[in-house]
Amino acid sequence: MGSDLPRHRDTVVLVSYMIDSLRTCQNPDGGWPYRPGGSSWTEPTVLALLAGYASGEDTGRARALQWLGKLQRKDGGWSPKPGVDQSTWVTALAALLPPSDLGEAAHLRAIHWLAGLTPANATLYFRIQSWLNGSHLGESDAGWPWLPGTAAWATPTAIAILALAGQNRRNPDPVLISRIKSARGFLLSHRCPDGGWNHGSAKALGVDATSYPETTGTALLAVAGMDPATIAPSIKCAEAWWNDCPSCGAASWLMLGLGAAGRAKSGPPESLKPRTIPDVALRIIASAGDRGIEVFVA
Amino acid sequence: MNKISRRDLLAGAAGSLFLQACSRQPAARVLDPNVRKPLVSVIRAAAYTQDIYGTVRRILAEHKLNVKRKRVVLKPNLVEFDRNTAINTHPLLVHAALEAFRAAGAADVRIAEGPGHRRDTLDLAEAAGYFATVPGFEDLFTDLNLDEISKHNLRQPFSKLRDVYLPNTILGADLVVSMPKMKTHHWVGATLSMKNFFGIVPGGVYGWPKNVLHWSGINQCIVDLSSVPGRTFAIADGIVGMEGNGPIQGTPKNCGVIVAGRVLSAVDATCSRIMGIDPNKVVYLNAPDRPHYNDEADMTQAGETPRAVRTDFKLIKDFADLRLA
Repeated sequence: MGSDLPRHRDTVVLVSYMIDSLRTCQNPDGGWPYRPGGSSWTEPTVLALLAGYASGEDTGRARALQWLGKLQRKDGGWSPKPGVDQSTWVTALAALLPPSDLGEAAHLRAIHWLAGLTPANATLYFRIQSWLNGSHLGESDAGWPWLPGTAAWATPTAIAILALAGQNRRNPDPVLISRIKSARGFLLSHRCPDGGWNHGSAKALGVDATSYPETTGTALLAVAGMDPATIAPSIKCAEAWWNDCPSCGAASWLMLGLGAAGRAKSGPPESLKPRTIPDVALRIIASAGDRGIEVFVA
Repeated sequence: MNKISRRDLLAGAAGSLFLQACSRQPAARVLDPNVRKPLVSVIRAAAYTQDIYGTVRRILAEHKLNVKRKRVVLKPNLVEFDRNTAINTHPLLVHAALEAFRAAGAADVRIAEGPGHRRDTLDLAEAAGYFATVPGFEDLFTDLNLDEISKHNLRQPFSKLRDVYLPNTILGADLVVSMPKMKTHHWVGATLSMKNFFGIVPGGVYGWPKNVLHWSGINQCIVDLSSVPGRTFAIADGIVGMEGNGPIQGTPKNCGVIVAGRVLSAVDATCSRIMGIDPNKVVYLNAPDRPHYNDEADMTQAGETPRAVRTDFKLIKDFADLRLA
């Protein structure tokens, strides 16, 4: 996708072009694909919708919401795309949408699905089993998995925190507060020694692992507002990644994370080209931070 | 004492589950002496030079691969952005394979991969040198994490998986060529052409990492996933491999070989021997009710013998007992 971008230093022009390109990539069914011409998936559709909210562009919004509405499963969750018969982490993405647009009841069912999901290695059964065999591998703090029946990881945990935090701002609920606290504990305990996050393993066989820029930005969004001393190493790590960022998607997550931590950045280098629809959408969302529009707020 | 990580747990649990499964399954299938032994080529290649192009063409000729008018998918191992280590399959070898299959008459040759941890696949490929080495790379490449998918029922699965969503690029290919980097692996001992098939599982459905494979049994899933494509070939990049705490945190190891063949388990057993690893101790190479090619006599060797090019890869403490005598 990136090769079509205008080589223009003006962020406003660039973002305007991206909004146009996003509009043209919407599928007739209302959803968005990962790459132009593909079938519709939940993740790019939600991110494109969020980009629309961030930019004020509402063309195609109603069709997209309708497509999403049809995809919600009986259990309240969303599957990654039509034809996949399991609710997954993308439910947290859908729950970031305004309840008034998604539908109050549909949104609440998504929140319930998320709040009720415990990663496989944080269940009471697993923790007791882990305690009995002396492995100390059960997680007392529960993040979120990519899909039920598996362990928690950084990205789904961060996105779910953002979704529950949004709901808690609208309707304060001690259950949600407790769940968010636990998930933040998970993120902090899985932080790499350099202060950032990778996919969610700070060590491999006792050897320190290093962070990734994209997950550092995403997780930083989810812990923003916590004790400054606690997140200071993460901000430092994100700043370091910002100066050596390898992709457009990662740069957007870093912009969002650093912006939430009060260290706003302007656009990333032009050389970082958006490769996918989510890249374009995230770039639009991240740029909206310049105008004080925050889509992801923990 | 080092605290055990949850990775250790998942790997340990997977190993014990697999061994339990083995105890309930029939023993390894006895090789039929009348069936032709699989051919495995072991070719010396000292460095990533233009000579590789000729080498790969000769390999395809030696194995009499008929790919005329066929759709071929090359599946390298792309893992991390780091260009200075030996994490990713070298792009020159992949380009050499692309050219060789085209020259052999393939109708379409694509490169496809779905990294397990990183989502920015094209940027990762660019950092690994693929854009600079393979002309028109972006048009030839499919990110398997984001590809169109279909549900695939596994036949006689060893893992807990009964079905799996898989990319249509893989399911629709006439030949899938696994092009792994020869590396040690901190969960399963060695990651080679069979383990490389973890990359066909779409992150768009299962996430990053594809943790469902760990909970379903890592060794078992290696066996199941490598059985998915109808027709396979392997070209392993052992020119510079990775030893120690692979597949990411290890150190480069000059080994100077390319190993190739149609039967993935035979190629992997050969790679293991070259790395100084006993294939009889690699769990996924000893799956019950599957043919094993763990002894040199079980296959026809072309080029060098594994013994002649054996280069012991350093093994982490947990896998020290895999060392080949």
